[in-house]
Amino acid sequence: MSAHAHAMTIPHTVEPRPDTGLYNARLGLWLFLASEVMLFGALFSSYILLRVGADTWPQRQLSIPLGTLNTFVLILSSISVVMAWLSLKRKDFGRFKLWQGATVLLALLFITVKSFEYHDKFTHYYVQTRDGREMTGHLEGKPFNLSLARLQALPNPPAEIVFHPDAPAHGPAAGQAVHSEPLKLPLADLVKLEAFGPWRNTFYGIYFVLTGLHALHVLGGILVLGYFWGPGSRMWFTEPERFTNRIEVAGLYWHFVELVWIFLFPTLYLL
Amino acid sequence: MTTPVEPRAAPAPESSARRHKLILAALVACTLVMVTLALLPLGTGLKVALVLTVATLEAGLVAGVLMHLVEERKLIVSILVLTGIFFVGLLLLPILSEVDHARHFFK
Amino acid sequence: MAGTIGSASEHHAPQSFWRRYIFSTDHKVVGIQYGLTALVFLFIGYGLMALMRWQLAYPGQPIPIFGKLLLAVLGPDMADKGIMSPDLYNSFGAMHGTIMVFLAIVPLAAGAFGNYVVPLQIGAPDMAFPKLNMMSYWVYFCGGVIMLVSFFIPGGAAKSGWTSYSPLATVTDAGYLINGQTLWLIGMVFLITSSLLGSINFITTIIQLRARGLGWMRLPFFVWAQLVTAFILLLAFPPLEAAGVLQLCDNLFGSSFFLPTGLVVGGKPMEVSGGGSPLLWQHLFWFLAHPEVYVLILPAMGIVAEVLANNTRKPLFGYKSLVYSAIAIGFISFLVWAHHMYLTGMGTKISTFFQTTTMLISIPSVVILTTLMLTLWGGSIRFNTPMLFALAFLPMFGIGGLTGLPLGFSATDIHLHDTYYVIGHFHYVVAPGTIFALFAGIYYWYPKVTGRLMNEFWGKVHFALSLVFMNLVFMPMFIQGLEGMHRRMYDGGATYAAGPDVAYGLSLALKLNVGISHAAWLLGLAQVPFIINFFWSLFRGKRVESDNPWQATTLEWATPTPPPHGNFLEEPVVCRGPYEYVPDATGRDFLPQNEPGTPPTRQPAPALTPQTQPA
Repeated sequence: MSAHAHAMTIPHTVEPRPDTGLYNARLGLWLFLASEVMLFGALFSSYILLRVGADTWPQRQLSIPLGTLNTFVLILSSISVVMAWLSLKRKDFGRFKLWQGATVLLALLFITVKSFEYHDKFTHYYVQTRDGREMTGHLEGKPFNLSLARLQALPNPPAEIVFHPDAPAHGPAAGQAVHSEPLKLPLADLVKLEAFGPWRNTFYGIYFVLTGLHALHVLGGILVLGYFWGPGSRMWFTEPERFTNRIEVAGLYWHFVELVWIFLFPTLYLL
Repeated sequence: MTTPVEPRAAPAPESSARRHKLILAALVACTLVMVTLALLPLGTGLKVALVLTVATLEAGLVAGVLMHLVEERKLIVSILVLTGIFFVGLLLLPILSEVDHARHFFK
Repeated sequence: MAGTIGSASEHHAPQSFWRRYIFSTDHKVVGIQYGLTALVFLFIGYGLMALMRWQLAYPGQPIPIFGKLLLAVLGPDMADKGIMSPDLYNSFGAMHGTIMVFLAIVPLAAGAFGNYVVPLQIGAPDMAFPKLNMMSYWVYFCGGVIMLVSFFIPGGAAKSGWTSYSPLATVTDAGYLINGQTLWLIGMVFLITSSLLGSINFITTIIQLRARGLGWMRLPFFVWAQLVTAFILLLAFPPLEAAGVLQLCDNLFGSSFFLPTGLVVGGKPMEVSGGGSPLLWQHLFWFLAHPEVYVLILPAMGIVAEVLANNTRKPLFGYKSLVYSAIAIGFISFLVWAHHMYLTGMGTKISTFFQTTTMLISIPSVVILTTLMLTLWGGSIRFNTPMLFALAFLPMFGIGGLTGLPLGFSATDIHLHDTYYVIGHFHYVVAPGTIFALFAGIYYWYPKVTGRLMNEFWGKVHFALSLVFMNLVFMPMFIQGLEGMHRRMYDGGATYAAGPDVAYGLSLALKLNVGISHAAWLLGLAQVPFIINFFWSLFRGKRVESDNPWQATTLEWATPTPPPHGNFLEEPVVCRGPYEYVPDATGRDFLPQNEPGTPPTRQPAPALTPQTQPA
């Protein structure tokens, strides 16, 4: 008996199964998306619980213009990824490359904007002094993610820090774009100095986890979509139908990433 | 067993280009409506309800049209409905047990 | 069926050792890998408990032999003078639970049996996504290694229970950034990922790759059980993954998802923002962990059903009830989780909701147990080793299930929560319950995998000793729990017995510790015949005389032994249900599912349109 009595192929990788009307990868991907709904659902549930349980909930902490820009970027990429698939269905490989490439570039733009937003948070500081003053603002030179402990642990800790407080939220100087005069605060006077990371409060915690996990999914999408734009696209010339299915399925994943953002954006930026 | 189904044929180019332009416009419009609503001086409860309704509508467009869910097989849709039920349970039940707490949840 | 030329076809060139045995995409190899790895973890998990039981029976005494080993490997912080320290006890306790649930039972029940048997029973050449299958195994393996490594890092392994409740899980070993809890969380992320990939594979395979003629109501119940299990894993695991990420943030980045405001540790206020909720962790954890227990039991019920049908030589009683009950269990299991949280101060309305759903889910469980018992009526029973284990499963699972009822009622749970009663209850379901079913499965499918039978005599010895000692270990725990003996106490609850007000009953409960420990060690010894039998039979076991030594009806017995790559020599076509044990004129008493030419005993299913051939 030969080791391979007949060619071992997995049925329905390309042609759909008659009674379900699906090929395997499409079912598989929808199942994966169902699990992702539960993953982000748990995080949204946590958000609700943390917000309802909080005495005060910080609002308007994030740049609405940048968030809206990122939303448009993802919407455009959603359209371009569908166009890429449609191009393949019309056997236009050149168009596919264009649309797929556009999707990847838009995704990279999303990550760039997000990195900028994150950087902004990690160079924004909260200080508390011994006399009970609490201020938020920036440090001279915009260092990344300093903390009091790290400053004190330096071999030559500075005697003082130069702090640019934010404009106050209320009062006569409210809303002004210009910071008030920089303050020189002696290091010994400081009780707390921390950047606006996930430790700042539960809003920032859930913000970083939600957007961070989402960004990881965007990065994953970039890798997959980029692979199919590049080396993976060779399959078009040997198994075009199977390749088209892969693009469809990758597109479904990408739409899901956009779906999550459609809820993330209002939840974190707008409400 | 149901009768076999045809694999999805590619739609005609012109109608699909128009369709996608419409979707793009609709999605952009929804986003702008959300941002506007958020900037209006409304009560928190009302604002949350309205903004999330628009978000759900926008998500429905992406899921239904771009992900082809409106024409997807019953099997897939039923899996998603099942997921939706558990998703709602996950969102609602913890907060309901906070509301019905014998003492305050967080203190 | 052959598909387009070149599409998805496996390499016909001879594969290297690595490709064939280590990084194989063949579901049978992956199944065996899962099985062997899981059995090793089962052994490790048992070992942890065996050492803990010394501390419970003889508190403060140096552990013979292993005490010196622990001292040498883990240092005096953990095992000074060979005595188990409280930290080590807690580590072993947390890891015993974690390893048994996530690294042993589920990989064995779903990963091993599911992977090996399901594609065979549905007449498929392999799983729908073979490469994903291989990845699932190796991600599981990495997760397991991470969990084991955590024993050897400063501070030791996680020690906040397998439930890892915050804030304890965050404040324990906070002096080390990467501590046992951190590795536990990272390990869990690996294990959850492995599970998710596996469940996608299982569901797609069962839906898409069933052979021609294998309609839903002709599926072996084992496949239904695995399908429901896969759905539970798919939808219930992600919230724990999310919770794990949140706890990792608390532990590594100083966030406060689960840390309430005003937390004071060791007399000092914690320097965190606060505003979080420990109960949020509990909700997210139990959202998975309750459906997880049905993941532990459903494949076992599936195995028992197969073995019972085969060894009673009659169809399963109430096949449809079994299927609908399994589906009902799967669905309701998502709505009961807060019965683990009755003592967290939840109000009466929400407690009643969860109590009601908990009572509801007991109904399909009892239906399954009853239908399996009724299957025996009028059967021509063969008392071989797999059948003995399957038979014992029934009353053992019955005890486990019934003792769950006082825990499911919020009023009685107030007395029993966190006592040894709980430990007795869940061990009855998993140990003489699931593990017995898994033993039945090993003895039953061993001849298909290896072409040899395991020794019957030593199998029966293994069975008898295991049954006796399982009961001696776990039955007294109900008494201990009813007397109020708490779980997770390093000294076995001795502090409770010290005071003058404590009822006589509790000190009696403590005395039972000695007996339980000895029974637990003897239970371990009782596994030795099994281990020897398992390996010896590979080389010297009696060879099977046919591909179908048990004279069974399901498709896995229609392959060569062991099945080759691609499983079936020709595409199977199913013409009847899975348990047609019907005597015919020649004296044969079974009809294999795919045997053609014999008139079916039920209405024929509507003919499927032949699959379109590719152009």
